[in-house]
Amino acid sequence: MSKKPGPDVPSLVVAANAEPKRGTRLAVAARAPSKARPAATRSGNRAFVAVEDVLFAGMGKRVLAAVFTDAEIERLATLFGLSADEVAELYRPADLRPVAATAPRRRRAR
Amino acid sequence: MTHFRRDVLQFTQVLTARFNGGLIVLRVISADRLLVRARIYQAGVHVATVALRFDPRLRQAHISWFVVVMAGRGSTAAKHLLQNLLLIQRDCGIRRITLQAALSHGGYVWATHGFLPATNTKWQALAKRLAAKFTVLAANFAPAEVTAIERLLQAQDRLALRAIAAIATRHGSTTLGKHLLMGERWDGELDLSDEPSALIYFRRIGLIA
Repeated sequence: MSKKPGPDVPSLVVAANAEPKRGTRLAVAARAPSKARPAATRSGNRAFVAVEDVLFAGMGKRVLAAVFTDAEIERLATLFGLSADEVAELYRPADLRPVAATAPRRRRAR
Repeated sequence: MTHFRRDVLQFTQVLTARFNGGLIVLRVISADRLLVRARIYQAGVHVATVALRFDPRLRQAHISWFVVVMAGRGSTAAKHLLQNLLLIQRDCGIRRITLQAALSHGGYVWATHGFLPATNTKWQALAKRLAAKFTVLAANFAPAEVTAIERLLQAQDRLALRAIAAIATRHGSTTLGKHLLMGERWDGELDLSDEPSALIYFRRIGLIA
């Protein structure tokens, strides 16, 4: 665990196109470093979530079918001696195809 | 900043590129190690907080704290911040990024970002826990699948983690690889000098398609 920064540590507010609200910025900059960690849950839009959750959400549904590229899967298969059948079973299961692509089209009732 | 070869202002501008602003605290701790704490703002709203340690002499960086506000979920904020960090890491000559893969998704997410357990021994300790988890589930899978998965879980090489994370065989509403790794905790590292690991990471943080 690293030590909390002391009051002698330089703080720097950087603004690119716009900066945080002046009042908020000054209040934060003047405040002594808090011992409290960012709250895990806060109300509304300000609640923090771990970056893992955000990246996970960003992966989308496609992650189920393609976590790594085919080239990487082949490399791992070679390294761990997986046969072509085992690769097909573990990494390219047929039932991962989107339902719309596998299901027969139904005729529209007239 | 000696290793970054630019001044503090440029360092913070790279860290906050594509964001509207940031409150940055930089502290040099023991020799050349740099502690960075940053609150990042977008349109005046605090969107993320990060805490990092740079050790340029060892060419190593450690991500110790990285959270974004709920509003950032589904946006590109997390990826943009990781891209900014990568620029700094590149300019500081960082070759290795370390972190602790934990929380609900971390054990799986960081594996899919190219991170591996720090040593083969640490992988083997993790593999024992995964094997215990898989023993309970094994009856749901074909004997050929069970044999292959058990072989991966007995592998000595830490790259087997990647082979486990990639398993796409369905288990319930998810994949077996994800199910096994969710909720696990392991010390991870990303070796940027290892081309496959770097490519996986670059793809995941949106630098390459």
